[in-house]
Amino acid sequence: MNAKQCLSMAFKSLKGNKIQAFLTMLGIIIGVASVIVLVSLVDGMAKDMVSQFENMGTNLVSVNIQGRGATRTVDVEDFQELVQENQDIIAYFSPVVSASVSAKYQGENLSASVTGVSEDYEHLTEINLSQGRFLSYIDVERSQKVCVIGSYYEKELFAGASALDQTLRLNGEPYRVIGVLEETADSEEGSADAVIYTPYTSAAKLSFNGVISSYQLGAVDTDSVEAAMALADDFLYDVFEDEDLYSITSQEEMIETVDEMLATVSSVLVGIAGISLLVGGIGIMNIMLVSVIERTKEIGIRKSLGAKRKDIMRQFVIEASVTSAMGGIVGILLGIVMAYGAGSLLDMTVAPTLSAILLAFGVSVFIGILFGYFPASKAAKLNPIDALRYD
Amino acid sequence: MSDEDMKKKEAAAGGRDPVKREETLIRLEDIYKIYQTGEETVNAIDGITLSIEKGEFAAIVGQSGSGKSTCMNIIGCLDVPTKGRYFLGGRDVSHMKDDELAVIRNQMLGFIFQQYNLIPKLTVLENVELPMIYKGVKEKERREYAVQMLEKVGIAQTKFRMPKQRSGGQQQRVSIARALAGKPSVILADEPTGALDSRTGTEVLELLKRLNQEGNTIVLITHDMGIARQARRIIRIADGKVVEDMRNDPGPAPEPAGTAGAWKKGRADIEEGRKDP
Repeated sequence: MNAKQCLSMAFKSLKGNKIQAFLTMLGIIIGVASVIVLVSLVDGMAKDMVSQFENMGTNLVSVNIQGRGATRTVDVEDFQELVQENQDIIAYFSPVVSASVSAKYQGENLSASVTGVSEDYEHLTEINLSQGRFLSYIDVERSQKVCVIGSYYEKELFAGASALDQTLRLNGEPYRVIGVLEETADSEEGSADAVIYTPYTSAAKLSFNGVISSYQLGAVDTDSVEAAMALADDFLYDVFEDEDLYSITSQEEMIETVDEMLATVSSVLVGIAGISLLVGGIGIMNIMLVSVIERTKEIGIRKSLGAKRKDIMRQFVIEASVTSAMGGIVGILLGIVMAYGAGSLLDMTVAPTLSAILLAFGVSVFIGILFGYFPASKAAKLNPIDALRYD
Repeated sequence: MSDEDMKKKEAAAGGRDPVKREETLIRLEDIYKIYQTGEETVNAIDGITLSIEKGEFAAIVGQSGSGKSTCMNIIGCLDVPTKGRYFLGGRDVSHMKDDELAVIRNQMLGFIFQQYNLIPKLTVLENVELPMIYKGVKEKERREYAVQMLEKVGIAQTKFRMPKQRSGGQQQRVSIARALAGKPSVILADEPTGALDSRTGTEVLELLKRLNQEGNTIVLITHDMGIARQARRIIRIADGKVVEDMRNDPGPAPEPAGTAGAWKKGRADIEEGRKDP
């Protein structure tokens, strides 16, 4: 008996028992769907985060200062001095000030986060403008009330009209829009497009907290990243004499950390989904065992007509695999739908990869073969006389 | 007994009477089937020696518990004897393994059961195709031959129906068509009329007679002497032994010229066999 006949026989037997077949598949459907949903969401999240980090450039070194009271602090000038003295290692430098503000334009009102940076920031991270220009030295030096906005704000506040040269009110202060960034994500809330850059000197006032505690340094090249980190470390240790009061991280380290973290999260989640696949597989085995008993007579008839062990074996294994593969296909479709549903609900990027889909399908077929094998070999070993006599 | 001994014995037997070995279709040589239940041993078959020639229509008749079912299982290669040797078409099948027996059943035997034993999920046509599927016959050829066999038993019009929708008599015809589909050397009919009313039962028996006249070898197993009398040879079994083996004239059915010679030869063998015990 060839594989095609086995397949058509398997479909026939599934068709004859629709409810039972569906219940058998349910475990696999749920298992595969949850694998697809989890992998899609975690992959989407990873993609988002990695692309955000990569936009910032890989030569980047971030410095955060927790500080201790007012007695020992570093200010922007101290840092600038350090950068001036080490231009062979550090190419760019920008303080980073974050402030939550309310952004208002005519009737539209939004809560926004403002990032105060220097003109160097343009070189520290990837900034592509669709209109206007980025912040200049003069803007920073004179604490000009100017800003560069992401496409999300242009879309939300200006309803698609050009924002250039319009005046935006940040916490009531008038800020002129001098540049608009190109869209990098989907212009959605919380995405990389939801940014407003102002001179750090201006942002410091918006934040109600004059202290600047974050800095970003751009090493001249990737090889100088470690030297730049060492330099910053020496400088800060001299001031604080305690390495717990500040932290220095490179972009590469952060990407690695995030990658590792996401890999752990995704393997835990996929592991949990895998358990439901396993349960689904056991369900298939259970139903197949029942089916072998139900069909003892059929097996006896087939054997009396000349079916060999391997014919019976193949019939049952193929039937189990077809059941579980069909469950797999339904699960994949359901999973993709659910992933996009969850993605739009949680406002996350969803990336159902082909490899995840193929893997899920492969696993479900494999489960069918694995868990169909035992019932099938039980069926194949039935004695034809006993099987024929069975009612 | 080792395989080599077996071969020697077989060769010796073949040497003694090569012509007979070739022509005897079913040849049971001192067959025993012994069941062990705890301390007790039961000889379901207690030394049967029997030959059935090609073209015969033999009935094996016996009460329940006489050993006729065990006998049919062994002749049908569904079971192997504890002792003794069974040659089917000249091949010793008495010590074959499961899968080898499956091949023999597929190539040489056609079964007709009391309960028809059709697979309910398959259509009439698909049921008839089954033996050919296991034989590896190509789909088109298989389908054509299955339809031919259904025509032969007179129910080709039901081919796309499910077996359960047909009457008992028709189901039995399907199972006869299925038995024929494997082009078997022997058709084994186990109480083929047991589940039918007397009119349809008679029709089925007439069909079997006709198939026999067309050259098919038929072995009928029954407990009913009335049915056994439809066969041309009656082998009566009791307590696992052959107690009677006689020629029978079923009456009106004319004997076609082609099978007569075979029958005479068969008859000679029976008479020889009867002297044996």
